[in-house]
Amino acid sequence: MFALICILFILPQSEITSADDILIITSASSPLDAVSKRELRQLFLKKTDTIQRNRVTPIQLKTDHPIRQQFDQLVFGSPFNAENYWVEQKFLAGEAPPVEVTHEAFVLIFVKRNEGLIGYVHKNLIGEVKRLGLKVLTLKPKG
Amino acid sequence: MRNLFSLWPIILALTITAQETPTTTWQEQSQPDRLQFGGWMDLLYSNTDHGADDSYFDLPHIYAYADAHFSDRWRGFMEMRRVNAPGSKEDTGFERLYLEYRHGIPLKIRVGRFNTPAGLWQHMHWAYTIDSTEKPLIEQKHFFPTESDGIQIFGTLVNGMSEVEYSVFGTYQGENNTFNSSNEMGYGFDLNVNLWERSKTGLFFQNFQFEGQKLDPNPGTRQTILAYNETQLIPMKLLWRTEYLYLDRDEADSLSGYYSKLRYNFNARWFLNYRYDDTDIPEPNQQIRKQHANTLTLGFHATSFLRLRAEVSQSKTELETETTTSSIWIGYRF
Repeated sequence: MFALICILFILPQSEITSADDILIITSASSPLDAVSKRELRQLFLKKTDTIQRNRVTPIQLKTDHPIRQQFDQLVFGSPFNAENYWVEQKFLAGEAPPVEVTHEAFVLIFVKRNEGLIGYVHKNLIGEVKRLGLKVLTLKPKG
Repeated sequence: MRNLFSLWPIILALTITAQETPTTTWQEQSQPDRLQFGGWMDLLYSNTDHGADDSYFDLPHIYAYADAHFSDRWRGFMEMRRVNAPGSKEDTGFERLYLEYRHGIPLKIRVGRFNTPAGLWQHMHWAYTIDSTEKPLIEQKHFFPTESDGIQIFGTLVNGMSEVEYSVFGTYQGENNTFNSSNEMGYGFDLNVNLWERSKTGLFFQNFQFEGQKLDPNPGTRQTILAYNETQLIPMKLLWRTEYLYLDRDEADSLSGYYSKLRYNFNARWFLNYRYDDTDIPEPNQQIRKQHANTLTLGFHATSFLRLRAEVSQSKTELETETTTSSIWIGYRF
Protein backbone atom coordinates (compact mmCIF):
# COMPACT_ATOMS: atom_id res chain seq x y z
CA MET A 1 0.00 0.00 0.00
CA PHE A 2 2.96 2.29 0.66
CA ALA A 3 3.97 1.81 -2.97
CA LEU A 4 0.46 2.74 -3.99
CA ILE A 5 0.62 5.97 -2.04
CA CYS A 6 3.99 6.72 -3.60
CA ILE A 7 2.43 6.26 -7.01
CA LEU A 8 0.13 9.16 -6.29
CA PHE A 9 3.07 11.48 -5.82
CA ILE A 10 4.17 10.82 -9.33
CA LEU A 11 0.76 10.84 -10.97
CA PRO A 12 1.17 13.18 -13.89
CA GLN A 13 -1.27 16.02 -14.43
CA SER A 14 -3.56 14.64 -17.11
CA GLU A 15 -3.68 16.62 -20.30
CA ILE A 16 -6.51 15.66 -22.54
CA THR A 17 -5.99 16.05 -26.22
CA SER A 18 -8.81 13.89 -27.50
CA ALA A 19 -11.48 11.52 -26.28
CA ASP A 20 -9.33 8.57 -27.42
CA ASP A 21 -6.95 9.35 -24.57
CA ILE A 22 -9.27 7.68 -22.08
CA LEU A 23 -8.67 4.22 -20.63
CA ILE A 24 -11.73 2.22 -19.56
CA ILE A 25 -10.60 0.10 -16.63
CA THR A 26 -11.90 -2.72 -14.50
CA SER A 27 -10.49 -5.30 -12.14
CA ALA A 28 -8.14 -7.98 -13.49
CA SER A 29 -10.53 -10.77 -12.59
CA SER A 30 -13.31 -9.36 -14.74
CA PRO A 31 -14.28 -11.62 -17.66
CA LEU A 32 -14.93 -8.55 -19.78
CA ASP A 33 -12.43 -7.67 -22.50
CA ALA A 34 -14.28 -5.10 -24.55
CA VAL A 35 -17.28 -2.81 -24.15
CA SER A 36 -19.26 -0.72 -26.59
CA LYS A 37 -20.22 2.92 -26.18
CA ARG A 38 -23.82 1.82 -25.94
CA GLU A 39 -23.03 -0.52 -23.06
CA LEU A 40 -21.18 2.31 -21.32
CA ARG A 41 -24.10 4.69 -21.90
CA GLN A 42 -26.56 2.20 -20.46
CA LEU A 43 -24.28 1.55 -17.50
CA PHE A 44 -23.44 5.16 -16.67
CA LEU A 45 -27.10 6.21 -17.08
CA LYS A 46 -27.99 3.38 -14.68
CA LYS A 47 -30.29 1.69 -17.14
CA THR A 48 -28.52 -1.57 -16.49
CA ASP A 49 -26.21 -3.10 -13.96
CA THR A 50 -24.90 -5.89 -16.19
CA ILE A 51 -22.68 -5.91 -19.25
CA GLN A 52 -22.49 -9.12 -21.25
CA ARG A 53 -24.23 -10.82 -18.31
CA ASN A 54 -21.59 -9.69 -15.83
CA ARG A 55 -22.66 -7.61 -12.89
CA VAL A 56 -20.88 -4.23 -12.99
CA THR A 57 -20.97 -0.90 -11.16
CA PRO A 58 -19.85 2.41 -12.65
CA ILE A 59 -17.57 4.90 -10.94
CA GLN A 60 -17.00 8.31 -12.44
CA LEU A 61 -15.22 11.59 -11.92
CA LYS A 62 -17.00 14.79 -10.88
CA THR A 63 -18.71 16.71 -13.68
CA ASP A 64 -16.16 19.53 -13.64
CA HIS A 65 -13.20 17.18 -14.09
CA PRO A 66 -11.75 17.53 -17.63
CA ILE A 67 -11.51 13.77 -18.10
CA ARG A 68 -15.16 13.37 -17.09
CA GLN A 69 -16.10 15.95 -19.70
CA GLN A 70 -14.09 14.09 -22.33
CA PHE A 71 -15.65 10.79 -21.29
CA ASP A 72 -19.16 12.24 -21.54
CA GLN A 73 -18.29 13.63 -24.96
CA LEU A 74 -16.93 10.27 -26.06
CA VAL A 75 -19.81 8.17 -24.75
CA PHE A 76 -22.87 10.42 -24.88
CA GLY A 77 -21.93 12.93 -27.56
CA SER A 78 -22.81 16.59 -27.66
CA PRO A 79 -24.78 18.40 -26.25
CA PHE A 80 -25.47 15.89 -23.45
CA ASN A 81 -25.82 17.69 -20.13
CA ALA A 82 -25.11 15.17 -17.38
CA GLU A 83 -26.03 17.54 -14.57
CA ASN A 84 -29.47 18.25 -16.05
CA TYR A 85 -30.03 14.58 -16.77
CA TRP A 86 -29.43 13.54 -13.17
CA VAL A 87 -31.39 16.46 -11.72
CA GLU A 88 -34.36 15.22 -13.73
CA GLN A 89 -33.79 11.59 -12.85
CA LYS A 90 -33.78 12.55 -9.19
CA PHE A 91 -37.18 14.21 -9.58
CA LEU A 92 -38.69 11.58 -11.85
CA ALA A 93 -37.43 8.33 -10.43
CA GLY A 94 -35.40 9.13 -7.33
CA GLU A 95 -32.30 7.91 -9.12
CA ALA A 96 -28.92 9.28 -8.07
CA PRO A 97 -25.96 9.39 -10.48
CA PRO A 98 -23.19 6.79 -10.28
CA VAL A 99 -20.73 7.45 -7.48
CA GLU A 100 -18.48 10.37 -8.29
CA VAL A 101 -14.95 10.93 -7.07
CA THR A 102 -12.75 13.97 -7.35
CA HIS A 103 -9.51 12.43 -8.55
CA GLU A 104 -8.38 9.66 -10.88
CA ALA A 105 -6.39 8.18 -8.01
CA PHE A 106 -9.65 7.29 -6.29
CA VAL A 107 -10.88 5.60 -9.45
CA LEU A 108 -7.73 3.46 -9.51
CA ILE A 109 -7.99 2.56 -5.84
CA PHE A 110 -11.68 1.75 -5.89
CA VAL A 111 -11.42 -0.35 -9.05
CA LYS A 112 -8.44 -2.19 -7.57
CA ARG A 113 -10.23 -2.94 -4.32
CA ASN A 114 -13.71 -3.76 -5.64
CA GLU A 115 -14.49 -6.40 -8.20
CA GLY A 116 -17.01 -5.42 -10.84
CA LEU A 117 -16.30 -1.70 -10.89
CA ILE A 118 -15.82 0.04 -14.22
CA GLY A 119 -14.16 3.45 -14.34
CA TYR A 120 -11.99 5.56 -16.56
CA VAL A 121 -8.70 7.44 -16.33
CA HIS A 122 -6.38 9.28 -18.68
CA LYS A 123 -4.06 7.09 -20.77
CA ASN A 124 -1.05 8.75 -19.17
CA LEU A 125 -1.82 6.57 -16.17
CA ILE A 126 -1.29 3.32 -18.09
CA GLY A 127 1.82 2.66 -15.99
CA GLU A 128 -0.14 2.86 -12.73
CA VAL A 129 -2.96 0.81 -14.23
CA LYS A 130 -0.49 -1.97 -15.07
CA ARG A 131 1.29 -1.70 -11.73
CA LEU A 132 -2.03 -2.17 -9.93
CA GLY A 133 -2.87 -5.12 -12.14
CA LEU A 134 -6.03 -3.58 -13.56
CA LYS A 135 -7.53 -4.53 -16.89
CA VAL A 136 -7.98 -2.03 -19.70
CA LEU A 137 -11.15 -2.66 -21.67
CA THR A 138 -11.11 -2.22 -25.41
CA LEU A 139 -13.74 0.06 -26.82
CA LYS A 140 -15.68 -1.80 -29.48
CA PRO A 141 -15.61 0.11 -32.76
CA LYS A 142 -19.38 -0.18 -33.26
CA GLY A 143 -22.19 0.77 -30.88
CA MET B 1 6.21 21.18 -4.56
CA ARG B 2 2.81 22.79 -4.91
CA ASN B 3 1.58 19.57 -6.50
CA LEU B 4 2.71 17.60 -3.50
CA PHE B 5 0.72 19.82 -1.16
CA SER B 6 -2.34 19.52 -3.34
CA LEU B 7 -2.12 15.73 -3.04
CA TRP B 8 -2.27 15.72 0.76
CA PRO B 9 -6.03 15.16 0.97
CA ILE B 10 -5.71 12.22 -1.39
CA ILE B 11 -2.82 10.72 0.52
CA LEU B 12 -4.74 11.07 3.74
CA ALA B 13 -7.81 9.47 2.25
CA LEU B 14 -5.80 6.63 0.80
CA THR B 15 -4.03 6.04 4.07
CA ILE B 16 -7.37 5.76 5.79
CA THR B 17 -8.65 3.51 3.03
CA ALA B 18 -5.56 1.36 3.28
CA GLN B 19 -6.01 0.96 7.01
CA GLU B 20 -9.57 -0.25 6.67
CA THR B 21 -10.22 -3.91 7.08
CA PRO B 22 -10.46 -6.01 3.91
CA THR B 23 -14.16 -6.51 4.59
CA THR B 24 -14.91 -2.86 3.77
CA THR B 25 -17.14 -3.00 0.72
CA TRP B 26 -17.65 -0.70 -2.18
CA GLN B 27 -21.17 -0.01 -1.04
CA GLU B 28 -19.97 1.06 2.38
CA GLN B 29 -17.35 3.38 0.95
CA SER B 30 -19.58 4.91 -1.68
CA GLN B 31 -22.93 5.14 0.07
CA PRO B 32 -24.72 8.37 -0.83
CA ASP B 33 -26.45 10.36 1.87
CA ARG B 34 -29.02 8.17 3.60
CA LEU B 35 -31.46 11.04 3.90
CA GLN B 36 -31.76 13.71 1.26
CA PHE B 37 -34.00 16.77 1.10
CA GLY B 38 -34.75 18.88 -1.94
CA GLY B 39 -37.39 20.55 -4.02
CA TRP B 40 -38.16 23.34 -6.40
CA MET B 41 -40.33 26.39 -6.80
CA ASP B 42 -41.22 28.63 -9.69
CA LEU B 43 -42.32 32.14 -10.56
CA LEU B 44 -44.72 32.75 -13.40
CA TYR B 45 -45.92 35.81 -15.23
CA SER B 46 -48.63 35.11 -17.79
CA ASN B 47 -51.06 37.24 -19.68
CA THR B 48 -53.91 36.34 -22.02
CA ASP B 49 -55.34 38.66 -24.64
CA HIS B 50 -58.67 38.86 -22.81
CA GLY B 51 -57.51 41.90 -20.83
CA ALA B 52 -55.46 42.97 -17.85
CA ASP B 53 -57.61 41.00 -15.40
CA ASP B 54 -56.32 37.77 -16.88
CA SER B 55 -52.71 38.44 -16.02
CA TYR B 56 -51.04 36.28 -13.38
CA PHE B 57 -47.86 36.92 -11.39
CA ASP B 58 -47.20 34.57 -8.51
CA LEU B 59 -45.51 31.40 -7.29
CA PRO B 60 -47.63 28.67 -8.89
CA HIS B 61 -45.73 25.69 -7.47
CA ILE B 62 -43.66 24.83 -4.44
CA TYR B 63 -42.54 21.20 -4.14
CA ALA B 64 -40.37 19.69 -1.42
CA TYR B 65 -39.26 16.10 -0.96
CA ALA B 66 -37.48 13.85 1.51
CA ASP B 67 -35.75 10.76 0.18
CA ALA B 68 -34.63 8.14 2.70
CA HIS B 69 -32.41 5.20 1.74
CA PHE B 70 -32.87 2.68 4.52
CA SER B 71 -30.60 0.15 2.80
CA ASP B 72 -29.41 -0.79 -0.68
CA ARG B 73 -32.84 -2.24 -1.38
CA TRP B 74 -35.31 -0.21 0.66
CA ARG B 75 -36.17 3.41 0.13
CA GLY B 76 -38.90 5.76 1.29
CA PHE B 77 -39.92 8.87 -0.62
CA MET B 78 -42.22 11.72 0.37
CA GLU B 79 -43.02 14.75 -1.78
CA MET B 80 -45.34 17.58 -0.78
CA ARG B 81 -46.78 20.20 -3.08
CA ARG B 82 -48.42 23.55 -2.91
CA VAL B 83 -50.06 24.45 -6.22
CA ASN B 84 -51.69 27.75 -7.02
CA ALA B 85 -51.42 27.78 -10.79
CA PRO B 86 -53.68 29.70 -13.17
CA GLY B 87 -56.63 27.57 -14.22
CA SER B 88 -56.43 25.16 -11.30
CA LYS B 89 -57.68 25.09 -7.73
CA GLU B 90 -55.30 25.94 -4.91
CA ASP B 91 -54.03 22.70 -3.52
CA THR B 92 -51.65 21.49 -0.82
CA GLY B 93 -50.95 17.82 -0.22
CA PHE B 94 -48.85 14.77 -0.89
CA GLU B 95 -47.70 14.42 -4.48
CA ARG B 96 -45.89 11.14 -3.79
CA LEU B 97 -45.58 9.05 -0.66
CA TYR B 98 -44.27 5.53 -1.09
CA LEU B 99 -42.03 2.78 0.11
CA GLU B 100 -39.84 1.25 -2.61
CA TYR B 101 -38.09 -2.10 -2.79
CA ARG B 102 -35.32 -2.43 -5.39
CA HIS B 103 -34.45 -5.94 -6.36
CA GLY B 104 -32.34 -4.43 -9.12
CA ILE B 105 -32.80 -2.17 -12.13
CA PRO B 106 -35.07 -4.78 -13.82
CA LEU B 107 -37.43 -5.05 -10.85
CA LYS B 108 -38.65 -2.45 -8.37
CA ILE B 109 -41.82 -2.35 -6.31
CA ARG B 110 -43.57 0.70 -4.87
CA VAL B 111 -46.39 0.75 -2.37
CA GLY B 112 -48.19 3.97 -1.49
CA ARG B 113 -49.02 7.03 -3.55
CA PHE B 114 -47.17 7.32 -6.85
CA ASN B 115 -47.65 9.12 -10.13
CA THR B 116 -49.63 7.07 -12.60
CA PRO B 117 -47.01 5.75 -15.05
CA ALA B 118 -48.68 7.00 -18.21
CA GLY B 119 -46.63 7.68 -21.31
CA LEU B 120 -44.01 10.39 -21.69
CA TRP B 121 -45.36 13.75 -20.58
CA GLN B 122 -47.02 12.48 -17.42
CA HIS B 123 -43.76 10.80 -16.46
CA MET B 124 -42.05 14.21 -16.29
CA HIS B 125 -45.03 16.45 -15.59
CA TRP B 126 -43.42 18.79 -13.03
CA ALA B 127 -43.13 22.38 -14.25
CA TYR B 128 -39.43 22.24 -13.49
CA THR B 129 -38.74 19.25 -15.72
CA ILE B 130 -41.06 19.79 -18.70
CA ASP B 131 -40.19 21.94 -21.68
CA SER B 132 -43.33 24.09 -21.93
CA THR B 133 -45.35 26.10 -19.45
CA GLU B 134 -48.79 25.31 -20.90
CA LYS B 135 -49.57 21.64 -20.46
CA PRO B 136 -50.67 19.54 -23.44
CA LEU B 137 -54.47 19.69 -23.68
CA ILE B 138 -54.86 15.96 -23.11
CA GLU B 139 -53.12 16.52 -19.76
CA GLN B 140 -54.89 19.77 -18.88
CA LYS B 141 -58.30 18.13 -19.16
CA HIS B 142 -57.54 15.41 -16.60
CA PHE B 143 -59.03 12.53 -18.56
CA PHE B 144 -57.59 9.98 -16.13
CA PRO B 145 -56.21 10.00 -12.57
CA THR B 146 -52.61 11.14 -12.57
CA GLU B 147 -51.98 9.97 -9.02
CA SER B 148 -52.52 6.44 -7.84
CA ASP B 149 -52.69 4.92 -4.37
CA GLY B 150 -51.73 1.28 -4.59
CA ILE B 151 -48.88 -0.91 -5.77
CA GLN B 152 -46.57 -0.49 -8.77
CA ILE B 153 -44.15 -3.07 -10.14
CA PHE B 154 -41.73 -1.65 -12.69
CA GLY B 155 -38.25 -1.83 -14.14
CA THR B 156 -35.97 -1.58 -17.14
CA LEU B 157 -34.68 -4.51 -19.18
CA VAL B 158 -31.76 -3.98 -21.51
CA ASN B 159 -30.96 -6.35 -24.32
CA GLY B 160 -28.40 -5.22 -26.89
CA MET B 161 -30.01 -2.63 -29.13
CA SER B 162 -33.25 -2.38 -27.17
CA GLU B 163 -34.38 -1.16 -23.79
CA VAL B 164 -37.75 -2.16 -22.43
CA GLU B 165 -39.41 -0.19 -19.63
CA TYR B 166 -42.45 -1.71 -18.02
CA SER B 167 -44.82 -0.81 -15.26
CA VAL B 168 -47.81 -2.71 -13.92
CA PHE B 169 -49.99 -1.19 -11.24
CA GLY B 170 -53.08 -1.81 -9.19
CA THR B 171 -54.83 1.00 -7.37
CA TYR B 172 -57.30 1.24 -4.58
CA GLN B 173 -57.87 4.91 -5.20
CA GLY B 174 -56.63 7.44 -7.69
CA GLU B 175 -57.42 11.09 -7.49
CA ASN B 176 -56.09 14.57 -7.41
CA ASN B 177 -57.53 17.97 -6.79
CA THR B 178 -59.39 18.08 -10.09
CA PHE B 179 -60.28 14.48 -10.53
CA ASN B 180 -62.82 12.20 -8.90
CA SER B 181 -62.45 8.48 -9.12
CA SER B 182 -64.22 6.19 -6.74
CA ASN B 183 -62.63 4.12 -4.00
CA GLU B 184 -62.67 0.98 -6.07
CA MET B 185 -60.00 -1.09 -7.65
CA GLY B 186 -58.30 0.09 -10.80
CA TYR B 187 -55.41 -1.34 -12.73
CA GLY B 188 -53.22 -0.69 -15.70
CA PHE B 189 -49.85 -0.99 -17.35
CA ASP B 190 -47.32 1.02 -19.31
CA LEU B 191 -44.89 -0.66 -21.68
CA ASN B 192 -42.37 0.93 -24.01
CA VAL B 193 -39.46 -0.17 -26.16
CA ASN B 194 -36.52 2.06 -26.97
CA LEU B 195 -34.75 0.91 -30.12
CA TRP B 196 -31.20 1.92 -30.98
CA GLU B 197 -31.49 4.68 -28.33
CA ARG B 198 -33.29 6.66 -31.03
CA SER B 199 -36.95 5.80 -30.91
CA LYS B 200 -39.13 5.01 -27.93
CA THR B 201 -42.58 3.59 -28.64
CA GLY B 202 -45.06 2.66 -25.97
CA LEU B 203 -48.58 1.95 -24.84
CA PHE B 204 -50.40 2.79 -21.61
CA PHE B 205 -53.68 1.26 -20.53
CA GLN B 206 -55.76 1.98 -17.46
CA ASN B 207 -59.11 0.76 -16.20
CA PHE B 208 -60.74 2.77 -13.42
CA GLN B 209 -64.05 3.76 -11.90
CA PHE B 210 -65.20 7.32 -12.44
CA GLU B 211 -67.71 9.16 -10.25
CA GLY B 212 -68.39 12.06 -12.58
CA GLN B 213 -67.53 15.73 -12.29
CA LYS B 214 -68.87 19.09 -13.40
CA LEU B 215 -67.72 19.02 -17.01
CA ASP B 216 -68.13 15.29 -17.42
CA PRO B 217 -71.10 14.05 -15.37
CA ASN B 218 -70.97 10.47 -16.62
CA PRO B 219 -70.04 7.98 -13.89
CA GLY B 220 -68.99 4.45 -14.74
CA THR B 221 -66.11 2.23 -15.74
CA ARG B 222 -63.53 3.95 -17.90
CA GLN B 223 -60.61 2.82 -19.96
CA THR B 224 -57.73 4.99 -21.03
CA ILE B 225 -55.37 4.07 -23.84
CA LEU B 226 -52.33 6.21 -24.51
CA ALA B 227 -50.04 5.42 -27.44
CA TYR B 228 -46.80 7.32 -27.74
CA ASN B 229 -43.59 7.69 -29.66
CA GLU B 230 -40.48 9.75 -29.17
CA THR B 231 -37.79 9.79 -31.85
CA GLN B 232 -34.42 11.52 -31.97
CA LEU B 233 -34.53 12.76 -35.55
CA ILE B 234 -31.03 14.18 -35.06
CA PRO B 235 -29.45 12.54 -31.99
CA MET B 236 -29.27 14.93 -29.02
CA LYS B 237 -30.41 17.80 -31.28
CA LEU B 238 -33.86 17.34 -32.75
CA LEU B 239 -36.57 15.39 -30.98
CA TRP B 240 -40.06 14.56 -32.19
CA ARG B 241 -42.74 13.33 -29.80
CA THR B 242 -46.39 12.38 -30.15
CA GLU B 243 -48.89 11.06 -27.62
CA TYR B 244 -52.37 9.96 -28.62
CA LEU B 245 -55.07 9.40 -26.01
CA TYR B 246 -58.32 7.50 -26.32
CA LEU B 247 -60.83 7.48 -23.47
CA ASP B 248 -63.72 5.03 -23.36
CA ARG B 249 -66.48 6.54 -21.20
CA ASP B 250 -68.81 3.59 -20.82
CA GLU B 251 -72.29 4.90 -21.72
CA ALA B 252 -71.10 8.29 -22.99
CA ASP B 253 -69.30 8.96 -26.26
CA SER B 254 -65.59 8.26 -26.22
CA LEU B 255 -63.03 11.07 -26.31
CA SER B 256 -59.72 11.31 -28.07
CA GLY B 257 -56.90 13.78 -28.43
CA TYR B 258 -53.24 14.07 -29.21
CA TYR B 259 -50.27 16.36 -29.22
CA SER B 260 -47.20 16.38 -31.37
CA LYS B 261 -44.06 18.36 -30.71
CA LEU B 262 -40.60 19.14 -32.01
CA ARG B 263 -37.78 20.19 -29.75
CA TYR B 264 -34.50 21.54 -31.06
CA ASN B 265 -31.50 21.80 -28.73
CA PHE B 266 -29.19 24.60 -29.80
CA ASN B 267 -26.70 23.40 -27.20
CA ALA B 268 -26.79 21.95 -23.68
CA ARG B 269 -28.53 25.08 -22.34
CA TRP B 270 -30.83 26.53 -25.02
CA PHE B 271 -33.76 24.84 -26.74
CA LEU B 272 -36.78 25.72 -28.84
CA ASN B 273 -39.96 23.70 -28.51
CA TYR B 274 -43.06 23.73 -30.73
CA ARG B 275 -46.18 21.74 -29.89
CA TYR B 276 -49.51 21.25 -31.65
CA ASP B 277 -52.50 20.03 -29.59
CA ASP B 278 -55.85 18.72 -30.72
CA THR B 279 -58.40 17.15 -28.40
CA ASP B 280 -62.08 16.55 -27.67
CA ILE B 281 -63.56 18.53 -24.79
CA PRO B 282 -66.60 17.11 -22.96
CA GLU B 283 -69.37 19.46 -21.88
CA PRO B 284 -72.07 19.10 -19.21
CA ASN B 285 -74.77 18.94 -21.92
CA GLN B 286 -73.12 15.76 -23.32
CA GLN B 287 -71.83 17.67 -26.34
CA ILE B 288 -68.22 17.26 -27.37
CA ARG B 289 -66.23 20.12 -28.80
CA LYS B 290 -62.84 20.27 -30.44
CA GLN B 291 -60.01 22.35 -29.09
CA HIS B 292 -56.60 22.86 -30.62
CA ALA B 293 -53.56 24.86 -29.64
CA ASN B 294 -50.14 25.92 -30.90
CA THR B 295 -47.39 26.51 -28.35
CA LEU B 296 -43.91 27.88 -28.97
CA THR B 297 -41.36 27.88 -26.14
CA LEU B 298 -37.81 29.13 -25.82
CA GLY B 299 -36.04 27.49 -22.89
CA PHE B 300 -32.78 28.22 -21.12
CA HIS B 301 -31.08 26.14 -18.44
CA ALA B 302 -29.01 28.90 -16.87
CA THR B 303 -27.40 26.71 -14.22
CA SER B 304 -28.13 23.32 -12.73
CA PHE B 305 -30.38 25.20 -10.27
CA LEU B 306 -32.09 27.78 -12.48
CA ARG B 307 -34.27 27.35 -15.56
CA LEU B 308 -36.16 29.91 -17.63
CA ARG B 309 -38.81 29.76 -20.34
CA ALA B 310 -40.54 32.30 -22.55
CA GLU B 311 -43.66 31.05 -24.27
CA VAL B 312 -46.52 32.01 -26.55
CA SER B 313 -49.56 29.74 -26.82
CA GLN B 314 -52.62 30.14 -29.02
CA SER B 315 -55.69 28.07 -28.23
CA LYS B 316 -59.00 27.85 -30.06
CA THR B 317 -62.18 26.01 -29.17
CA GLU B 318 -64.92 25.37 -31.69
CA LEU B 319 -67.31 28.32 -31.95
CA GLU B 320 -65.08 30.49 -29.74
CA THR B 321 -62.49 33.11 -30.47
CA GLU B 322 -58.82 32.43 -30.32
CA THR B 323 -56.99 32.99 -27.03
CA THR B 324 -53.31 33.90 -26.90
CA THR B 325 -51.33 33.42 -23.69
CA SER B 326 -47.81 34.78 -23.24
CA SER B 327 -45.69 33.80 -20.28
CA ILE B 328 -42.31 34.08 -18.65
CA TRP B 329 -41.39 31.29 -16.26
CA ILE B 330 -38.46 30.92 -13.86
CA GLY B 331 -37.83 27.69 -11.97
CA TYR B 332 -35.42 27.31 -9.07
CA ARG B 333 -34.26 24.02 -7.59
CA PHE B 334 -33.12 23.81 -3.98
